[in-house]
Amino acid sequence: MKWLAFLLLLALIPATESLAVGISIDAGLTPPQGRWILRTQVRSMSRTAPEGTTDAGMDRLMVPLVVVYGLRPQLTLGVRQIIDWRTMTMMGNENKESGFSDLYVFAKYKVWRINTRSYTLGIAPLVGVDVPTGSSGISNEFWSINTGLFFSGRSDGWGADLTVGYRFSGVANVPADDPDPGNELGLNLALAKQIPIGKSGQTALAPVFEISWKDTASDQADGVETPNSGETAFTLAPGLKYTRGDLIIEGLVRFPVSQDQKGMQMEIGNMYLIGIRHMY
Amino acid sequence: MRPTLIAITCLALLAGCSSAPEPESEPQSDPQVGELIEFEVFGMDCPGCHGGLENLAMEIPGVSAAKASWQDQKLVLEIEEGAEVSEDQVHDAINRANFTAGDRVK
Repeated sequence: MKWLAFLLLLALIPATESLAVGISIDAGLTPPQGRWILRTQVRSMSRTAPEGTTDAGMDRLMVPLVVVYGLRPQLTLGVRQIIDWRTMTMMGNENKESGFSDLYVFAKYKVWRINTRSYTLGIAPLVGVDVPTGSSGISNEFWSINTGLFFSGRSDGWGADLTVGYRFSGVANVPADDPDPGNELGLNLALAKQIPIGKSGQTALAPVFEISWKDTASDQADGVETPNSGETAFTLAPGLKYTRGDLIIEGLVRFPVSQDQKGMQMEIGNMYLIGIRHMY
Repeated sequence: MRPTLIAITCLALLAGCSSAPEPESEPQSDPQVGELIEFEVFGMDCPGCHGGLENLAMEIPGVSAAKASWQDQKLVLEIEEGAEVSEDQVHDAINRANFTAGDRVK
């Protein structure tokens, strides 16, 4: 009975938090050639079953480690590995899973950028691959392709990054008995204002505000939508970014404004994020 | 709770390793040693932009110190005595940093 409950709980968990979320400002501009960026975060997030259904819930702590390198002025390469701790509860039972998630490898290409005295504009597409290298119980066990298009603007200390992302989930290696996972479409608008601190010009504090919308299509088996899969969510996330020379410390809280899960699924809760970036 | 503590401890250690004294706002070497040249640079929008451009500028033969400022939109280079640095070399470094060179102002 206990295992049946956990299986039911697993079925209630919507698609994993696959796309990189949080502090998307700067995501659209490619770094200088030869620049290394090391980035890590602690993300705490939760999901709970809708009121009046069951007492199921999931707490999740994720620590993504990201390495980015400016191979060419136009071309940026990156790799991300997440360490993932999940605690699932249902009817008083608790199940814990932890391990490495799937490896994510990506490349971003600057197709256009204009820098003037008063503003900067840029466009950079991204393509990335989820490689199913993760731990048992954490890995999706299939390959996925992520595509994205970044639009960036900067003027007088203000910054705006608009990201349009589409994820082709399960392009290969989906287990034969599993349904095809639903694709994801995401929009993220990140706004920030750099406020210099002191006279050195090396320190700044930036309030950040992110607006995100994501639609995850239902899974499909033999061309038929699988019940209890697919969701749409609209989230807001205020945050702060502190920059001191090559070091950036960032924090953000993301909360859902509206969400719609198909069938019986757990709802998105708040996400808390703190992170650090260092550039070499 | 335990993974939370581990993660926060890792972040604190990273922050500790990475924290550095407040960087100077001018090239660190003695300005008497070599000539200073200065270029306008457009596209820097935060303090974190400096480092990549300064690294690339330091790769130019003859440059002994480099300092960029996002607020002033400029790059100041200190040139070793007797060395010659062309504007093309500086423009190339600025372009490879994904910024745009303006006029040479000094």
